[in-house]
Parts: sequence; C-alpha cells; structure tokens
Amino acid sequence: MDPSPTTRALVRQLLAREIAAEKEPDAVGNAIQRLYSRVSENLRHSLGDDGRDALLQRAFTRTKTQHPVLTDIGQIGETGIRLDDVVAGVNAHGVPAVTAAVESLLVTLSDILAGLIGADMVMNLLDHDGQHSKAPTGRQAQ
Amino acid sequence: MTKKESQVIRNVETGIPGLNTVLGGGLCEYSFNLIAGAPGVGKTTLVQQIMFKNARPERPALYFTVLGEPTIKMIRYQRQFEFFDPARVPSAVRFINLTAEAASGDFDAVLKRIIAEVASANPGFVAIDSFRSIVRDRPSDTDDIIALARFVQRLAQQLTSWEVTSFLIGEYSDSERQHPVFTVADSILWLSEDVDRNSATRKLRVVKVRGRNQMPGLHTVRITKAGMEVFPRIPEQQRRVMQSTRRLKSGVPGLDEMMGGGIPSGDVMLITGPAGTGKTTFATQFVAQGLADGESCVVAVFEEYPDAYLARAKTGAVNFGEMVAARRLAITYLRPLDLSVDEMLAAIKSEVASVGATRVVIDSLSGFDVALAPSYRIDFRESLYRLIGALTSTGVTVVMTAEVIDVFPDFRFTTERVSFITDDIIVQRFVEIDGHLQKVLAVVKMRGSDHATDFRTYHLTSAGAFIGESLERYHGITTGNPTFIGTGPGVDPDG
Repeated sequence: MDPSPTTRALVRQLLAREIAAEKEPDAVGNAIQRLYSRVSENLRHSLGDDGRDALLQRAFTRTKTQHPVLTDIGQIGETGIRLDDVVAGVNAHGVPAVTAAVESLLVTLSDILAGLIGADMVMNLLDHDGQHSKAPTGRQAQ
Repeated sequence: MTKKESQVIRNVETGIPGLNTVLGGGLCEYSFNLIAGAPGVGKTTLVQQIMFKNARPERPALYFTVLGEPTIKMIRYQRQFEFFDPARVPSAVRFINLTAEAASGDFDAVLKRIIAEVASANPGFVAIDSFRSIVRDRPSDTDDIIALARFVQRLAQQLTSWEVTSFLIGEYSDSERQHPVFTVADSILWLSEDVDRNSATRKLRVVKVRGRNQMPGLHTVRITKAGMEVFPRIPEQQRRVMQSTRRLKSGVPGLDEMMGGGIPSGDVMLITGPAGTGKTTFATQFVAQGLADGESCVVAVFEEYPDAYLARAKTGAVNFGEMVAARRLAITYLRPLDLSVDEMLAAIKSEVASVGATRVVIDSLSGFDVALAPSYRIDFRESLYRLIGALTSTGVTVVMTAEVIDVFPDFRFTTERVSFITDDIIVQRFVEIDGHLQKVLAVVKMRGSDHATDFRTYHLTSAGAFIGESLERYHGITTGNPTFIGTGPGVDPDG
C-alpha cells in the first residue's frame, strides 16, 4: 500500500508545525519526540494500550526497512513502540534522515488508520491539537 | 408525577425515531440508564445515536470503552451509520479507553479515572461500554456484593452530581436482575432478538423509567443505514373517530347503489374472493375515484413492486404516476418476510400524514400475512386487529382485499377469518351459468346500513370493473352451479 499524498501532506504539516520554531538539531529532535509522544498518547487515550500498540507495531514494522534509522531511535518493547533516542539519532544521522523516518512512520500509521476508520477521522484521532485536555491515567505514554 | 416535577426534569430528545414515544416523552436529563441485552442487538448503536444527537463541544459525550470489542473496530462499524459524524470526533464525542483500569479489577481505580475524565471535559453524556465487563465475575461473596453495590452507587452519585446523563451498557440476562445496577438505574432499556425460522426481529422493552409514563410491551426495533428506529407497539385499545354519514363513491359503476349509496366514510371494507375475480381492480378503482374527487390516497402493496402496480393502474382515467409525483398518492411497499405489524402501521401512517390521505388500500391481507415475521403471523388476527384499530382512529376509510379458495358449496369470506374487524364485506366468486364462467358478487355485510342482498354479475374490462345484472331469477348460486328459475332470457354473459 503506497502512502496517500493527502496523508503525507497532513503529516508534513503536523511535523512542520511542531518543529517550525526549532533551529538547533537537539531542539528539533526533542520536538519530533514530543510530537510522537503526543500522537502515541492520543491513540492510547482513545484506543487503549493494546489498540495503540497494535497499530504502532504494524506501522513500525512496515516502515523500518525503508528507514533503518528507526531501529536506532526506537524499539518495540513490552510497553509498545518507544522512540527514546530521537536526539541521539539526529546527532548521528542528521535532521533530514530522522525527520523523514518519523514522517514515514506517521504516514504509514495514518494510512492504516484511514483504511480502518476513514481518512477523515485520522487527524481527529492522532492529533486533535489540544482540543481537550486529558485526565491523568494509570499507564502513561512514553 | 406532579406538574411541578415534570417542569424540573427536562427531556433528553433521543434522536431515535419512536424511542421518545416509548419512553413517555424522552429520557430524563441527568438520569442513570442501563442498556441491557445480548451481544448484537444494538445497544452500542442506540447509545451512540443518542450521543451524536445531543453532544456539543461545550458539553461533549464521553464514550468509555472497556474490555470487549476493540475501540478501533467499534468506530469502524459505527461510522457506517449516517448519524455518526466523524467531524464531531473528538470535539463533541470522545472515545476513551478504560481497559487498563478495568483489567486491574480495582473499582476505585475505575471510578477515579472516570471522574477525572468527567471533571476535565465537563460532559453532558457519559457511556460505559461494556459496564458488564468491569464487573463480569462479581459478585462472588458478600464482601464483593457490597463492594459492587457501593461502586455502582458512587458512580451514579458522581455522574448525577456532574449533571451527566449516563448510559451503562451491558450483556445481562433475565436471571441477573438482582445485580445492584438494576436497582440504582433510573431507566432500564432491554434489547432482544427473536429468531424464528429465517426471520430475526429486534425488540425493545422499557423495563423501568423513573419520572415517565412509558409504553409497556415489546416494541419492534429496526437498524438501517440511518441508525436505529423504534416502532411503538400499537395499543390494543384505539379510540375510533366518529363515523360521518358521508358516503364515498367506490369508483365501480353500480356498486354504490348496492351499498346503499356508497361506502360510509371511515369504514373498513373487505373485498374477498378467489384469484382472478378482480379484487385489486375494485380497490384500484376505489383509489382512482378518490383521486378524481380531490382526495389523497395511500396504497400498501405486498405482492408486487410499486412500479408494477403503477404500470397496471395506468389504464384508468386517472394517471397514478402523476398523482404520486403530485404527492396525492403514496404507494407503500414493505419488505417482506420479517415485518412487524407496528412497522407496517408506522409506514402507512407516515404516508397518510405525508399526503393527507383519506383513503387507504391494503392489497392484500394474504400478502401482508406472508410479509410478517413468523412471530407476528402466529396471531395474525390480533396483529390485524391492532393495525385496523390504529388506522381507523385516524379517520381514514380502509379497503382491504383478501384471497380465498372457492370450495363449493362453502361460502367463505376469507381464510383469515377477519370479518369481525370489518364494517363492510363484499364477496366475489365464480359461478357457471349456461356453460359460461361468470363473476358474481354480493354485499354480505354493511354495519348500520341498508344494502342489496341479491347476487349480481360484474365484468372486468380494459376500462375497469362494472356491476351487471341481478341474479334474482337464479337459485343455488352459492353451489357454483345455479339454476334459472325465471322466465325469458337469462343473464347476458357479456354484460
């Protein structure tokens, strides 16, 4: 399944908005990690840990072959897909490579979701941009 | 319920056609509601339809999913319904997963999370799907019973204090009525499914509603692409509109004279006879006459598609197709084999109101019988009794057709033995006269009116049906082989 241009454009907007103000590689890395954490937490909030993990695992597995950098900055663990080393990844591989990898991961995730619940709901689920604040929960997102 | 109370407790419009009627006006605002039933009966659909109808960004609906159907799959299927508006997720309707807390088995953790989310979002509606999965294996001992009862009570108190209308969805059976949630719930809606041979009919029963006078009984539920619709059960007792002295023209030349001047307005007339006697032709001419007189009509057909009916009805002076386009005529075709009498009534009443009909034709009772779900067919007479009672309460004049098998010398009105619900009965049959098969009819019954008592021939031509000669000079007509007892020529077979 090729990523849809619309999905890619939306994910690019999402990333661009997050990292727009950042100039330094470390700050960009932190911004990417922050975005990923927010998307992951939004998914967990709506779908639960299992629902989120299943989607992210599939997206990660499908994307890591094209973007091996993902295996350096993230891992599949008992608590789902974690992107722990984005800043280190940026320093090792450069901003463009890490940005492209995370972008592809999110595009794949969005396309999987679009196939399940429709493209018009994807961004509502992934990043509703602080439309409502969430209450604290038991198991936190990474 | 006093007038003062009814002003304090506001109604929540459910957005489910028919449900407000069944509930006695709607759900009570801030009520704590249990939606119970087996898997697959429509519990989730019912609650989500209410939520999408009512939720607003400033008072959103929180839909808590627990153990059971994965949320992503639930959204995938629910969004197929027209009421599901993706653009309102999550601004107005928010899906929140409670699996982690529920799986811990810790009631306090579940309650804490729910209240935290409620405090954060200030919702107007909360649903927990499935509540049963939170407390599936409880209670096992006295301590557990107390803990569960306490949890349910605290949850109800908290949600009411936050001014939330809440729904607990659960797969319960009749034997579990002692569960504490049944005691605490303000209303209990029980969904079920009757399976009989190839037919499955969903039903809804309002077991309990505080503060409302709900409709008792089992109500038919149908789920379509639009969502859920409830068809309130037709009450047995209907107040009939006072019949006027006005007579309606039947549209069949010669028949009005036999009927003492026409069909009394507001009557229920049955035309019965074997196949090929022209029952549908008579009913169609009754409709055509009404349209010609400026009335509007509804025809419920069961044995053919509306297009086929219209094509056949074109032969008369009135163009039925044009009348449909002009909203003077409505043809109701109901999906056969799993119909409930309540759905049929709802469809006909809706069309009657839509076109302002004064004449209704049901063609035929035999087809209606076959179209019904088996559970309704078991007592067809009761179904028909309720249907006719409800229709006549609106003041319309009803003509029904029914097929019988000619068994000489029997003189049968109808196989359904429904004559008791009719005011007027016309019986058609074939007889042999001088080697010709003749169609004859008689007015068997007219409630409160004089009518002809002789048999008469009638003829079906390309221009329609018309009444012919009297058979007063024949004897033994009901045997099917009458004998001429007069003088001069007998009946002219060509009319």
